[in-house]
Amino acid sequence: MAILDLQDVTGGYTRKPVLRDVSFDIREGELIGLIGLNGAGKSTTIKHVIGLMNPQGGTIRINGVTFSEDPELYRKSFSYIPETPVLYEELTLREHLELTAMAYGIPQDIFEARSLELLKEFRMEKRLKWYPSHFSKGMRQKVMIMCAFLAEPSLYIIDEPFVGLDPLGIRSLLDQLTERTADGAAVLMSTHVLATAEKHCDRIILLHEGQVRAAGTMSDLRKAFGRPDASLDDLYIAMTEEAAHERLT
Amino acid sequence: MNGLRDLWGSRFGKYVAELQRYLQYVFTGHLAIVLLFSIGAAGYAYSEWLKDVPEGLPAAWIAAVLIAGAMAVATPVTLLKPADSVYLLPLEKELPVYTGRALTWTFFSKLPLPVLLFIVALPMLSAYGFGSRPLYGVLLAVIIAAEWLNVRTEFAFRKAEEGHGVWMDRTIRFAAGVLVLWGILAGSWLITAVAAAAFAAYYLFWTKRAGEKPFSYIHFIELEQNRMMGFYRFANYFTEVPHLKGTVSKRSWLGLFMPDANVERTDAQRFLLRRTFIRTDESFWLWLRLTLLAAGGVLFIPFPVVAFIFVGALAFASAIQTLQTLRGGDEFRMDMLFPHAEETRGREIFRLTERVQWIQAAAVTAAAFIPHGWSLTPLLMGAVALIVSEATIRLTGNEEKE
Repeated sequence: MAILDLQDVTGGYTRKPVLRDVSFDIREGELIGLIGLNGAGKSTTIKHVIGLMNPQGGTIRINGVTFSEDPELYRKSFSYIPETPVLYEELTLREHLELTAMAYGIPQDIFEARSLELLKEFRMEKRLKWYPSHFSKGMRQKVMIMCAFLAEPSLYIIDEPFVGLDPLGIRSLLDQLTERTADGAAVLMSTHVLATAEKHCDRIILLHEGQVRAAGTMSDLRKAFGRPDASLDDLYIAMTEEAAHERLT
Repeated sequence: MNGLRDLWGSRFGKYVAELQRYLQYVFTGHLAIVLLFSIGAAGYAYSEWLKDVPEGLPAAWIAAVLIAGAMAVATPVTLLKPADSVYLLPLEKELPVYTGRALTWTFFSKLPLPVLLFIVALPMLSAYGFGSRPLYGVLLAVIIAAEWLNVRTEFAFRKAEEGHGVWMDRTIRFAAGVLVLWGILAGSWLITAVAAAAFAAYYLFWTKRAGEKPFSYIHFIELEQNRMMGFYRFANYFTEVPHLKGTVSKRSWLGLFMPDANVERTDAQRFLLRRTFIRTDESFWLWLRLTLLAAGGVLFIPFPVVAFIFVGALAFASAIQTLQTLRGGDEFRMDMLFPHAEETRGREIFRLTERVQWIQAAAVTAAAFIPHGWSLTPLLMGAVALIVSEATIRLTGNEEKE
């Protein structure tokens, strides 16, 4: 069974939909890259998946459950890292981790062990009592990442994860993602860093003007575009040129 | 240069519209009614005091200190924006076209306070036999001129020193202002002349220094942002202000109310909301101010009926503001994704507001024991605070559900 399953999802902010009949699924242990130009609908797709927007049509299931069927179980099944870190200015780093543990019902001993490991991995163990106003953008992003990994859900939804992170932070994030997918979790990651997506993602979904233009492994995409040696950058540019050409003809 | 003149004009128009937008809430808000009552009571007490003024009060000094103090704080209103540090950088030579208008507005916006203090002080000065009608005219003219000098000097000082040591500058101007005003009232024209000359020399010195330094965009933009944030914070007491970025303080002295969490036993929303209430300056200080005001009211208002109304009005204001502050916040917060029932946050906001209002009622009761002794009145005052708070919380909660 797919961990995340979107079937013909149509939706947007107004009556004019941003997403049109978007369908894809993510299975256990898969890291999926959601790629597209600015305004292609990546963030809108993510907002629909995390339940901040209701689809105008189609269904979204996480572990077989839709949001309306069981909101609590649906929300417990994923954690989300937004593009712009959203922290509580009134909470310290430790309190952010504690709050996440409370919300996701993590036992105290497991919380202590997991948070210690994450703090070491992201080199934040000396900043437990710091408030967000003292953090750089990269540090704020690390707090979001640690909170997301602390919950250990079956699905991780990550919007532009590399923005603001230093090279060590990026490596730690990728290591964590590899470890989680090896344990059977699924990851939906939206990014513009195509080289990293090409290297680490099991499958790529190319989103353009609110529709899935192509999806599959790198070799599937190369076959679909008829370019056997192309990089993801080349395929991405080919897709946008093709779309522009279609519009003109 | 027309561009900068137009830029000021357009910004000033938007600024006035923004002020009007929020001031309408301020002047119709429930706190304004409390303020109106307080001003009325203070006015009445002042007029009673004037009928039989105590002997030997240094009235001239008091008037000089109050007026000079109001004039010394002359923070420039520049309406500069963060992007100006990039886009206005090549226009630094022409910038006086813009800052000149900014300082004119600063002057006119700051002038009413010292003039108002002067008008309020007039009956006191007259009661103590200071001055005469022509002298008061001279005094008013001097106040206007001194305000102009204060505004120009503070701007020049800030430009020259990037704002460092501005309180020293204000202290010097304050001292000079006090001597000038006191000299006029006391008829010591020599002191007035010397202090005024020193003030003018001080102004010229900083104007010259400022002319040698580049315009400190970072300082003036930060100053402007802090000033507007102060206004938004004030307006937020009356209505929800979307621009507001709440400031946060640790307040570790209230650690008792924020115990360490046991993640298995503590409720996430309770944990979060308690810290939000205690550590967010806006919510905490507003509640504390209203609670102290209520306690002060029962201590000093001699008529129990008035005290009951006062306590009730403040309990209403404090409960509604606490609810609004806790319900407000960013468009997106991570707890919106937490796996718990939708109504959990609302229920915890309701509960926390109830608890803090209980504390307010206890403070009112305790304060009321001082003037009223061991009687039923203090308990009734606490009960009024409790009933009004509870009714406000429940009625507002129902409104939201509908």
